[in-house]
Amino acid sequence: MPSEANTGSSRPSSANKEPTMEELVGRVANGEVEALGSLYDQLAPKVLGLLIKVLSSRSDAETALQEVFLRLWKEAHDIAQTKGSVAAWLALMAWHAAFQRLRAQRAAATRTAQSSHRQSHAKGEKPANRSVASARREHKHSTHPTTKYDSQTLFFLAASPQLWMPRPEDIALVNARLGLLQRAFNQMPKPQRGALELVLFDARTEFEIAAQLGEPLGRVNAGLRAAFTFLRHRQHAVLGTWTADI
Amino acid sequence: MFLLGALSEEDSLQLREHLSRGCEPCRERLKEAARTVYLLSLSAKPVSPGPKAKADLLRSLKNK
Repeated sequence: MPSEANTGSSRPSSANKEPTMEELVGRVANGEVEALGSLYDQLAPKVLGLLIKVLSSRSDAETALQEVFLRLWKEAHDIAQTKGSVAAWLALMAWHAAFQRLRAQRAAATRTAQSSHRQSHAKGEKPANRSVASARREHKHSTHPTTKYDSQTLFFLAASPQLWMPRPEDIALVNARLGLLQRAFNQMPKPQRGALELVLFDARTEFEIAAQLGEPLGRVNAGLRAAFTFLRHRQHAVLGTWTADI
Repeated sequence: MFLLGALSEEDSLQLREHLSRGCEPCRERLKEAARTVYLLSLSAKPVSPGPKAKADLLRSLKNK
């Protein structure tokens, strides 16, 4: 938790220069609300864009955005200690928050669908007021084998950011070469890309994707692995050796 | 997959245990994966939060 004492001793020495995001996290850890405000100004639009892409609902996304920044406030001390990139921390935590929300909504929708199905069945009626999308989603869901989602990863990651937080300079390099990276990623073969997008933007597990595409689990797993390997290799090419012809 | 919580519980548990024991190459891979997550997050178009959102957040923190 941020301490109530704010001596200002951790302020960066150069007062005229814009503080880095990581310096701002240090101030947030000291309880400076305004430092969180600065981080919010710089990063909230990116985080909100991602949340909307995954959640579709703007209002859900705004709620999740507040939760993620609240979490940043509470865990600023641990984040600052890792000296890692706060932008990377936010992206991951936002993604996680969105997935948990989406899965909780789906679980609730399935329960409601099941109970209303039972009720309407008893009355001999068709369920009313169901959008095509929600009906489709329920249908998709009902064809999946029961999947036990991993709900502990976030806890583990939040408790041990030193294990995974990328360095700020690595993230700066990604920002600097973003256009090239995106061009390289666009060359990913379509089937791999489709499966990857189901994982990333529709919060599907490998089991669900297999059920949805009607493919064997082994093939889905191999496709996803190939997609992630593709991403890794292209990143190495663009960020590392710089020799690949892209 | 692991970073996004999109692994099965069993696989994820194995990986968590492995990482907790401090395997350095795997940590580097995990950092690389987190960088990928960041990079992919940028594929979404930025959207400005509503005008009250920031003020609400900061006010709730000041009142704590």
